[in-house]
Amino acid sequence: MHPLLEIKDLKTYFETENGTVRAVDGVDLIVNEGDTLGVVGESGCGKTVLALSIMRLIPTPPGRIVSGEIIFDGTDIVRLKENEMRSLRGKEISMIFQEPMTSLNPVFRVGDQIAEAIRQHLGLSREGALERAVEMLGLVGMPSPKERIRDYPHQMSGGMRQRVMIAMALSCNPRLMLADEPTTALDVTIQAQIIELINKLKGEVGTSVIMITHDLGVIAEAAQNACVMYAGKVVEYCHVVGLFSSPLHPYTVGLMESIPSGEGGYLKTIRGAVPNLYELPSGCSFQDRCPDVMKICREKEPQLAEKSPGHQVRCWKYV
Amino acid sequence: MNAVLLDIRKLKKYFTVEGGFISGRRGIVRAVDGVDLQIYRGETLGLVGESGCGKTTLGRLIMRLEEPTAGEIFFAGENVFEYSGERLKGYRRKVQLIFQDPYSSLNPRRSAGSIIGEPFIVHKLGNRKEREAEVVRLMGVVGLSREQMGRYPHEFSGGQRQRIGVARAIALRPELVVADEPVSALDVSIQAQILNLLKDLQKDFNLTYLFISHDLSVVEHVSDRIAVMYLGKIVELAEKKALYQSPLHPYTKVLLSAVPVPDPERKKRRIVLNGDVPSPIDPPAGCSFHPRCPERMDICDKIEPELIDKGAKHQVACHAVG
Repeated sequence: MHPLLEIKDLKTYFETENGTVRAVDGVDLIVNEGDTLGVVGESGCGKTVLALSIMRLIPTPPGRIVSGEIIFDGTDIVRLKENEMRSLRGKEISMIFQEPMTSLNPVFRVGDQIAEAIRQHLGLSREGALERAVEMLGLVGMPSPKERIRDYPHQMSGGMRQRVMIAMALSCNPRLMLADEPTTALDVTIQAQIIELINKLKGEVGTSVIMITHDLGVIAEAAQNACVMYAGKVVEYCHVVGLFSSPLHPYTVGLMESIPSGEGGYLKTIRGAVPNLYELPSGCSFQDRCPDVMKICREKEPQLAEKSPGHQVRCWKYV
Repeated sequence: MNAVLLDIRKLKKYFTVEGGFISGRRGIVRAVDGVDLQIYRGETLGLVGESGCGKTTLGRLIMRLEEPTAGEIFFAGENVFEYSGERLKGYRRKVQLIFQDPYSSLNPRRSAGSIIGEPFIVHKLGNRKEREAEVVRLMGVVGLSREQMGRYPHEFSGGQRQRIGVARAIALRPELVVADEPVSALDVSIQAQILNLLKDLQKDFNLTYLFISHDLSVVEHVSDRIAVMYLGKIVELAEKKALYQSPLHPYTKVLLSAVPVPDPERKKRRIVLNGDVPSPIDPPAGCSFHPRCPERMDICDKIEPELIDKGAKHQVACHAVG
């Protein structure tokens, strides 16, 4: 039984006037059928570029998948021609983008936007596609879906727009759904509804999910496995319980300690800031912020290695 | 028992909206709909609520960036809305604002040093040399370096920009700082740095904070007392521990249960509300939360509950709380 998605040593670089940005710099990961993989990281770690690489939506130029494989259900989709990719995109692999307002077309009614993908991939007529759109909106918990398909995005709240995006992403029964910060712009009660919805629909539609977020709480609630990204690389990768009970990488530990608790007092912080992606240091990219930095960290880059069954970490402390 | 620094009484702010989707019809947005609240000197009062609850409008009213429809605000005993001219300027020295968005709240055409120095110019404090010295000092206080004085906002990260905003806010040694979602736009590790900074500043500068946020974990971390807002009203007000351990209002319980917990082993019994927040243009009759309330009773769609002290200074506006 092969995994649904297997990414091997993926590198996506951007060529700019100021140099090369190695946004995704050698990422390996696996998503098994029926799972939710959480991808955790802060701004600039490469998680969105990772998702866009899987969707083959990287603007070229200036970006480019430089090397590596993205094997989806046995096929390396990096090698596909654009028209072949187009028949996968939206159908087998779909994506929920981060900001629902800027991801929906403001001049088209919501129903037509959902129907567009359905017509493209399932070949239904306009009426048939709109019927299915109503069905999908009902599935995602939108009240009065028959009326709502005639709305424009600006007539809807953030939570409703996000449901529209989810409806769109699920409309063609994808095998894999990429959710990029699906709850970040939303109020916490709506966030809770959306997380429950995604979990429920996974079961009903049979979709596997890659959940991209910087919110560790969302990872804990939604994911079975998790990987932590930093400066374009995966620095830790394990089952979600292990990530929280025994985080290994100093960056992961730092993130966990930064989460506000009710205690008040001072939070432990990770000193410094994310490095300039144009000028990554040689050796480990985390060296200038790491409380446990050693001499070797500044000389050689550590590789991702298994520390305990199912728990991988990229750090000289564990070699 | 500390003195009351800010006393808000029966405050209302209504906005009229034209049109809507039925042309010609006017609506009234009851953004702040009868708020009574005291802020004590030296405390951090957290104000939580979701989009559209009125918390930002309340902050803006305190700053006198809006004029009220009704009600009053007293600052150290004086009626804020009666200030004008020099006295209003004096008020603005004492009450400052930290904005949410570090990207849009700094003038992109001014350097960091110029942004932080501007309050001194506006209030005609000190000469150029003194001003510059103070700006350097403030930058140091917020963790920026002198070398960064001449840089422009786009050259800083989000966290650094927020530090500039904080430096600007404390430049005049205010008494009250209204922080409107000061860390929401920041990554969690940077958020932690800014929260620590705000804590230090409170001690060093004797600040009182009104900390407005939708992020319950952050609010729990920083606040002494917390007020929960829903559709323009305060529905619960209590000390931090009391609110988080024994919330009384059904909406507060829902909010707390909705917060994702970074612990995959804790099975959460989450109360999921149906539907969206109703529009503040057309709030429901009686208690505005009743259509979504899991504990609703007959009386709730007829009579609006009042904010009542239930003991130990824990106030709640709810018919279901005995």
